[in-house]
Amino acid sequence: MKTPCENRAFFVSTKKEWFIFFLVKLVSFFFGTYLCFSLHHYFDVPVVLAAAFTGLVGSFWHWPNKYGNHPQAAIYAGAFAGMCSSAIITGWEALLFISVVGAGVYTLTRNIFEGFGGRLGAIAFTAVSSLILLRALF
Amino acid sequence: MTELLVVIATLAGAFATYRLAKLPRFNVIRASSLLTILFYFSVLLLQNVLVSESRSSETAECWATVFFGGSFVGMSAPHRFSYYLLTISSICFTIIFMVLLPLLEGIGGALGCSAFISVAISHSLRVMVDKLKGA
Repeated sequence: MKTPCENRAFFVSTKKEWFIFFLVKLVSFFFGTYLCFSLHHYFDVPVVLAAAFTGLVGSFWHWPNKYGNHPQAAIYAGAFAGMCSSAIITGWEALLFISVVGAGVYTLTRNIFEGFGGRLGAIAFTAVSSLILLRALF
Repeated sequence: MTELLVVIATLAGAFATYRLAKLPRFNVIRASSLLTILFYFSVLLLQNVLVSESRSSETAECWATVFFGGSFVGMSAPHRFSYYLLTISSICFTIIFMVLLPLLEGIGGALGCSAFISVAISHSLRVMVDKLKGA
């Protein structure tokens, strides 16, 4: 069984393909973050359960084969980022910033650390940390 | 005693995810998320039926967090990480979980990042041992 990172069905060669890949990641990451955050913030679902539920829903979302498992992995990574407290995700702009950074980091590092457990969590942590750092700087 | 239970929960999460992800119709994401949901409700049921504790939801969430972290370790690819390395990663994760994670409460991805660090440590150890054997 291949891990999401091993799946190289979608080769990115041109700038256009890179942008499409990034957009797919962005939509998936945003969906994961938004669903997980909404579940635990508005519906009082335990944080772990919210993230796991988001990942499970995302794993059944069918995407064209050329994208492989990448969108599902991005949804799961987004769910990890969505585990943040409301002190960090204060509004739509924070949610969008985390998603853009997360999708960007995912796209740039798609062939690095393949098959390493916790890679998706590290991407989510990078996205959330960059928001905290940005707030601290400005 | 709690430390031992944390190690057991982490190992259970890692090994169960690692095994389940190999089955047809499953992948690492489905295995990790499904097992965590099942684990959460199992602990909640045990707390409510057997122990009848009033703070059962919080206890279940705490143990599910440990299991969830373990399942991230178990998301490692079988061609890269053996059961032996998975055990080392899980023990590393337990240490990070108890020392570092309380400082990062409320930050999304901290659990996954801890799992990544523990997997990277075990991978580095393997590379180091391989180099020493070759020298």
